[in-house]
Amino acid sequence: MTGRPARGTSLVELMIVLALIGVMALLAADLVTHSLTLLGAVGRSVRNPLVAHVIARLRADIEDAAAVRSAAFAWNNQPLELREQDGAVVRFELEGDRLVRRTEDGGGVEGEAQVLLRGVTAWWWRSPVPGVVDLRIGYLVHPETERHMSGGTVGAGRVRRTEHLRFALRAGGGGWRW
Amino acid sequence: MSGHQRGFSLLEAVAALALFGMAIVVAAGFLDAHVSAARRLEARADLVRAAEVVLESLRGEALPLTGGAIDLSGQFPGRSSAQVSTRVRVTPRNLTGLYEVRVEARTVIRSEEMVVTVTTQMWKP
Repeated sequence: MTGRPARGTSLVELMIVLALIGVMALLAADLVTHSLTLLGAVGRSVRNPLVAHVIARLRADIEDAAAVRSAAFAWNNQPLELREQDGAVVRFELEGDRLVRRTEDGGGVEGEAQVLLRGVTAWWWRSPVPGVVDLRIGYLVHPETERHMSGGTVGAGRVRRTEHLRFALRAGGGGWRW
Repeated sequence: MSGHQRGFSLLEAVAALALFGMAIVVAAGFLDAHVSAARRLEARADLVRAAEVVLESLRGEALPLTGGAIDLSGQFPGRSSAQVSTRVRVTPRNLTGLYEVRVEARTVIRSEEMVVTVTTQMWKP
């Protein structure tokens, strides 16, 4: 054989390498933690487009309403019924895990029911004053769908989000206009 | 066997690990900038929501139309850990019953103050 004979590693060498690997592992763990924080922050800050659409629908209906039927001061999970200026009624209610919107014209004829959102885990509303409706809507969303902005199916890895919303009635309640 | 096996020397292992470490530090720096941006994005969304809630409260007369600090964070919590404070300024306009309403929502993210301002007009016919 030419060259140095194989002699293995000394304890000091092994300890140095292990210490460096430990430092690397700590740095890598910090990276992973940062990545998860980043994903969580982005997911929380950007509403799922479907949820944004539902909220816009709720806002439009509540703003257009003349009054809340069976207005409740305290939080409740009953259907929310809005009386429109033309006498029509818009009702939001939870059926299983679906938030459903139903309409009824002034003559009492029911329109087609719309499923606004699936995966709803909580539906609470109240009307603390006649001109305001507060909503709490809990729903499950897959972080993937938030990032890719598409629909999703119920499955593992879904996270729960809650929307805390307040909308004022333009046509009823208080006398302010905007 | 031709040749011989001697493994890595300590110098080679340390050099490789040092390079790897530098790469991780650089990547962490980039990622930290992105995390900071994401936190600001998250806080900004909370500021907008807080301002909207205050504005809707004024519109629906859940709150009187007066200036000052308003704290509704207990009833309408944000999604981030940012502490949001809101302040309303009401300015009467030339027409009777017409007011300019300015809602400011503020928070501090990593020593940097963030402000979202919504200005609108309200009147009572």
